[in-house]
Amino acid sequence: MSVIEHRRLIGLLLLWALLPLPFLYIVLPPFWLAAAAVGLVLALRPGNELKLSGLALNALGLAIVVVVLAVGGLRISPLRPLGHLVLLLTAVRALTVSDRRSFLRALLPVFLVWLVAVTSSTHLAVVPYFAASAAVWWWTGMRLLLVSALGATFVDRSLPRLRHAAFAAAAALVLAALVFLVMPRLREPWLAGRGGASSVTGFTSQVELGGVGTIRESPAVAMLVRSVSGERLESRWMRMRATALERVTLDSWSPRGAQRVPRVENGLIRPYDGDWSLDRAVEIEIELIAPRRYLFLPEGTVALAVPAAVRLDPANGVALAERVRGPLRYRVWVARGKGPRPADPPPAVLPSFEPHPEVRRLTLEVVAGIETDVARAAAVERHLRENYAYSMAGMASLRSDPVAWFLLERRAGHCEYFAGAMVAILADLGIPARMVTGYVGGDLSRDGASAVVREANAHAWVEARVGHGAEWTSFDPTPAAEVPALNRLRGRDRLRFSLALVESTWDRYILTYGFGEQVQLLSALAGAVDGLGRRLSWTAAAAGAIAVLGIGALVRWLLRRPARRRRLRGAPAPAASVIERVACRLQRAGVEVPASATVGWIRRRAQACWPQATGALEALTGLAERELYAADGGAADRGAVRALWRQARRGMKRTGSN
Amino acid sequence: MSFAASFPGFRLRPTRWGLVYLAGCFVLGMAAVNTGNNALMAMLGLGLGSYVVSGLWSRQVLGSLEVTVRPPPDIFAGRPAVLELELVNRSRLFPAYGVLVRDADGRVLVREPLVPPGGRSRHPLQLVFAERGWQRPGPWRLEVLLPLGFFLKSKTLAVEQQVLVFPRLLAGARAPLRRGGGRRGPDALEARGREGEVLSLRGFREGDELRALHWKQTARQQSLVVVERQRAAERPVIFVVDPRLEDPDDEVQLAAFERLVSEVATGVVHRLREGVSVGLIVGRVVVPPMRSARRAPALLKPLAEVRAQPASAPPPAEAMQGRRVLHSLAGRAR
Repeated sequence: MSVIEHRRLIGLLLLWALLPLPFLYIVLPPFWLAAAAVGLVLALRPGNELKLSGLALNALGLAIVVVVLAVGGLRISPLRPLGHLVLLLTAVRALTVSDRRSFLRALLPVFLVWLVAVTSSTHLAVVPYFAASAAVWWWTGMRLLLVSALGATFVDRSLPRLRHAAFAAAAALVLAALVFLVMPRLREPWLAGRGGASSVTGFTSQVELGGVGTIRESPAVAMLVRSVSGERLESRWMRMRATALERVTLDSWSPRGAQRVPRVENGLIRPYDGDWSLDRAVEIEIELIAPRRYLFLPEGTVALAVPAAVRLDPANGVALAERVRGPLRYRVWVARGKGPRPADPPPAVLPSFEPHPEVRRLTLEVVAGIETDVARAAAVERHLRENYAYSMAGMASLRSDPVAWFLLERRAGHCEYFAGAMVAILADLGIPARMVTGYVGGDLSRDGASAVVREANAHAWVEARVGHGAEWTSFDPTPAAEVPALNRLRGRDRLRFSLALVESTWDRYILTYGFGEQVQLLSALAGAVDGLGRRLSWTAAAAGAIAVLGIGALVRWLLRRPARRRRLRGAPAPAASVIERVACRLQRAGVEVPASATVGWIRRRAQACWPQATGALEALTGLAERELYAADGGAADRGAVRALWRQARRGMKRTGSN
Repeated sequence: MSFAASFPGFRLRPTRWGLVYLAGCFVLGMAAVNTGNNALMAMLGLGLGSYVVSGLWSRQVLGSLEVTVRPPPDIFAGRPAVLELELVNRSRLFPAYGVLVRDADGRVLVREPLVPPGGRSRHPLQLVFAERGWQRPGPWRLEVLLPLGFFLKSKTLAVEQQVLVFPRLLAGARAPLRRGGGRRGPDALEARGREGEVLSLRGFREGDELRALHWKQTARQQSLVVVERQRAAERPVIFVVDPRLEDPDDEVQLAAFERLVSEVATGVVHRLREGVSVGLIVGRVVVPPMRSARRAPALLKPLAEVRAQPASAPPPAEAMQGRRVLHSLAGRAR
């Protein structure tokens, strides 16, 4: 590699490493712009060699330190000026590349810049960047080693082929995924708390609506809802309540235990006290795809019929008494008018949130001048709906107070944050409140009589005990536009689901992948193996093993079959390969083809066998002889050979049919 | 196929760069595990994955590269011979990058940047064989450093093909024809074409030699008449090599025998170039006379293969008529 090539390569690598920095805000623009300018100069004008004396280099380094101190300052944090310093020194190091040795010296800081850029990125776009970077580094490494191995005489700039480097990088990335999955996580990962194993604010393993990051986006079907009478489903019936979460421990919410045996009348379970008539109730059938602990009931449910033992919790949540495998189908009767509401007494001791002083100040601002609890709760609900944005991106660190983080810092979050914040504010005001989880809305069928409820319809809202009655009133502080609705699924919704699924997968299983996920993965694997072992018979296992061995043998045979059977596309001499095929056909036709058969011999025999293919065979033979014997004979044009071979085969067929 | 058969003389040597890379991966791994940073974990995965892929790739390349050697038609001991070395990549998936072939002294014979999957590349290879006879080129080593050069992998190149090296030709020497017998020297052969029987008489044509004139007929017919004669019956030169030595293990005698064989080979080559019909008897091997220089390999092959034999071995064959030129150490002694 010449000096110019070294300089151009280091310039390109520097530009590549700098690519994410403008989007990251970890390096101030003047610094990455300066480094990018150096990279551009090196890439476009690699001939302008800069030779600096040691003194000049030291002076430049000192100047950079001064500039960094002056511009970046130590006010931000010690790391950022340090990053700026490294970046500028990298640029200087790249600028002074004059031979292989100095190139290798500059390569390390460039790699460090790339490392910082990648480790500072949290956006999904870093995935393609990372994958492309793997190919870039593979190509660079191969190029350097190729030049090193072959010496100064090696000048071919087209080597190594980029596709080969990309292929190797792809294979390395596959292995990287395995390493990523199994490497032990001893500390908390980048963003999530507690190893990313649990939710920070709301949905818990007790309710199991899914983890944070998947509650909103997952298109997986949670349940199927059907009106038995065939009438159109209404939105208010599609607010499926599981239970209320009243216990707050550390950072998670949980319901009170479900131990009460429900009242059963005429085979129907009555979750609420009181004599509610079924006459005017609408009958709805629900099929829960993967039942866990709680059943989901529309608000206003009067009675239900479920083919499994259930228990009630104090908040009128209906829990399965034992584990149920597979889909669970049950029926509910929902009051058309005002239905029953939970009326259980609040816990003796309300959860204490010890709100941040700023949160308390905010609370007082919101309810200033409002006397009644109902109005105060409504004011808080309205304040949250109108002043906070809905966002699924990002989560509060374990170290921070999620409510304060949501209300004061981030000012955006998903339904759990809205509901959690409202419960905390109401509790601070002395109003009993609790978070309720369930599903809202769904994808309506054409006739409107049935709906598909997806995991993306999971939602959290609030029940507060306000007013003079003993009932709990529902509040939904999430902005109305973001509450899942009951409507028909459209194409763009599907696209949105897909994109969101990718993003949530990235968020959940890459950014916050931790020890919790590793344990889940292992247990899932163990469960799969266990399930497979129970389902699989010895006969099926033996058949599977034989099939695997057979496929292996087939692959091996395909890889080792003679060269004459290789595809025309990859053959170095396509016309000669076709003549070999002709020889194979001759053998199949009963003509003994000796190993010493020449191209001309094969042509004569073939023409005798298939007179109608004479012309094409003649042309193919000419091409093959030119490929094989001519001093300047390169490979024949593949397109022409294919066309002639098609023509010859047609002639052979015609001869055969005659 | 066993590993030893696929990778004869396999050698694996970690490179400095490979050790630095491993140390870097270790540091990266410590940082990743210690911080729980998943991006660092992904980088560690990429680093280790690249390590494995590079190893598998280079191993596959080393296992699927084959070497064939095409010798020129005549190779003489002590003279540079240009062989053609062909590298064939039998792999259908992995290209072979940065392939080196080294001789026993570590000199690089072939540097090949890329042999694509299923491809081949040919390289001229200048070699000097010190001895005559059947020789196996090499031993050579095939080295693969790429794709990422963490290890230098090499194996001994098993070149199955043997090449026949003809005896050393002696510079400026011509095999004496009178040694050990022979009635005439080579100069006598120059007179051919003027000593045969008379075929016919004809008129003089431009270009005829004046000494071919038939003076009597010229005088009688008063015009120039030339006599045409049969070409002289040529008697081939038969080189006879007696490989018997008094002590075949004696190095002095063996050296003299090698010299003898070289002299005969030199004589054969020179005579053929002069257009003389040459035959050969080496021990019991008889090669009939031939004139064309293109047939020289047929004459030189027995000379390349001949080995010294004890004195009790049978004497050389007496198969051919011609001017026998006996070459033997015993004859020389006589």
